[in-house]
Amino acid sequence: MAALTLDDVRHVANLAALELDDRDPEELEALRAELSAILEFMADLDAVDVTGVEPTAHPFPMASPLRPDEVLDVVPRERLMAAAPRTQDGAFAVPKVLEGDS
Amino acid sequence: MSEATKSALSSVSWTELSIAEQAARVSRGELSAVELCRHYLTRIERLDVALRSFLHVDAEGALAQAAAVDAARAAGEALGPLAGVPLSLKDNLCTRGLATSCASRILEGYIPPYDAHVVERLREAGAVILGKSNLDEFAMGSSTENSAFGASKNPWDPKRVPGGSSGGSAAATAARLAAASLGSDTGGSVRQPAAYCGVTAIKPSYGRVSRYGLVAFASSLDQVGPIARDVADAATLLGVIAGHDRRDATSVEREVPDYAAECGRDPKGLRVGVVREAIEGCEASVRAAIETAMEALSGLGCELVEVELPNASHSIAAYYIIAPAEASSNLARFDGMRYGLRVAADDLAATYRKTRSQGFGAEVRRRIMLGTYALSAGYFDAYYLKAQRVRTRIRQDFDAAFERCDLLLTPTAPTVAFESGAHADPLSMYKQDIFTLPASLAGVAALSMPCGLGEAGLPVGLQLSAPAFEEAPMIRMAHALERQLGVLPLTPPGYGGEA
Repeated sequence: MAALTLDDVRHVANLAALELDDRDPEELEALRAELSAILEFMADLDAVDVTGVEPTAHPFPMASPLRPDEVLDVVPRERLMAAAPRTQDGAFAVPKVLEGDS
Repeated sequence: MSEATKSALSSVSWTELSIAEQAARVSRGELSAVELCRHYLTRIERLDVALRSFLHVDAEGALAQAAAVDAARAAGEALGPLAGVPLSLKDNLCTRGLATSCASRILEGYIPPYDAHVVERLREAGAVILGKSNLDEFAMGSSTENSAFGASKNPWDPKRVPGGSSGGSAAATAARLAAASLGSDTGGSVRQPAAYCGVTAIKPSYGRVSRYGLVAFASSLDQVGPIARDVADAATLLGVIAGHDRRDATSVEREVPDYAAECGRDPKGLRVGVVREAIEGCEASVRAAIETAMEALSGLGCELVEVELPNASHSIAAYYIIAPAEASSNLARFDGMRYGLRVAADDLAATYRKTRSQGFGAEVRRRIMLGTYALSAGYFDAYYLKAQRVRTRIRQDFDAAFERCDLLLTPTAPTVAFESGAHADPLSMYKQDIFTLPASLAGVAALSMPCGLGEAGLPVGLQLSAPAFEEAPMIRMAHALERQLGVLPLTPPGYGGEA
């Protein structure tokens, strides 16, 4: 479990949709060192023999229950959309996704 | 004695009544829900400037709910088990019409359009919601120092943290600014702050309580749990919030026992497994308090057996991979489009990035990056899958231990409440969770209760854990131990309930 490079940090930030361009070099280096130290600590797991051990995704085995396909009480659209930063014609208004004129 | 003195004296004791007794007096018309509510609101106004345990106080809404309770009583209607009981709620539980910020800039000013399942249950039971408690941003932290709106303080010593992430809930309950509170526990977030503030908290078994309307952090671990002055109050609250809800597919269809009725039952014959290694690693005053509690258990006719959890020490590494991985996925929803903060930029991708970078605090960004890394191509097997396999080992440790005992005993935390700033290094902070993480990873039930005062006169927390869905014997044991120790409920100096 090797230490991270600055490029690794930029790559992960990009995957997570977090901006790093606005951080100064010292801050970036501190973040790199901090994340590296935490990841190096995770080598602690190598001490556990997990040969043939199934991973646990949930604390106990469970089936996905099905319910009858019927309309239930739902929160009305206007109430749901009241918290949106911008709406237009009953829809969420978002910034331009594609380049060019629409 | 003047009328004013009499009234002052009677209100002194209100905050020392159990929540069942508060509700009973309100239901019999001996105590006005409005007066009770006003009493707590006055305390908040006077004392919370120093504690910062509340993020939002809804005085108007609370008084209206209280007035409705009094009106229902006057009309002869039957009242619920929490009639007029003033509560606070951790600010990651959605409350319709009342701000829910998760102590994050990204949700500043957000007003949820619906109530969380547990909030619906509390309202149906007649509870009065005073406001929302401070927390570490998105419940990520162990000190409530990560709140974007200012750290909470420990009522026992303002230089110390109240623990976290439900630090505001624990501090408010200890300081009698609310009769009790609800928090959430992902890796110890109700138990550790309860220990640091001298109150009691229950982390229910995974699936016992619906998470509908709890803002998700790590979905295979999150549970909502009560924080209260003592075991009986915590049991009363658990009884109200537990049970199946079709809106949370992980909530289990299983009968809810009468938890409050366990208080007062004889725990004789219960076998308590002691994890010796955990106790030895603690600060001396914690060890001493736990050993006193062990003697008290023997005095109650409980058998103490030594057990081991050989993989428990690996909980920190396993948890701090699994929880950030789940968080990185859950927090992807905060993109500035449907709710919360939006920082406008040239295009959609830049808007996402700017919104999330400015909206999330340092610890949340750090965990999102850790989790994203652990899930990314080339690292998934080495980190996430490996951590899940170690999680299985930890579960198996609990299974093996519970073949030899009914309950497990450890300290809740290795020390008493630490000073603000003591764990500025994130890894150092993560290591404080060593005793609470194993039960979370295993999905079992656990609670923390005070077992005495330790270093600097600060409360020491004892943790009991029980097999999944065995909350009832755990509560029976805890209540009997509380009585045997005779230290409860603890009151921080200066917070005795005088108006």
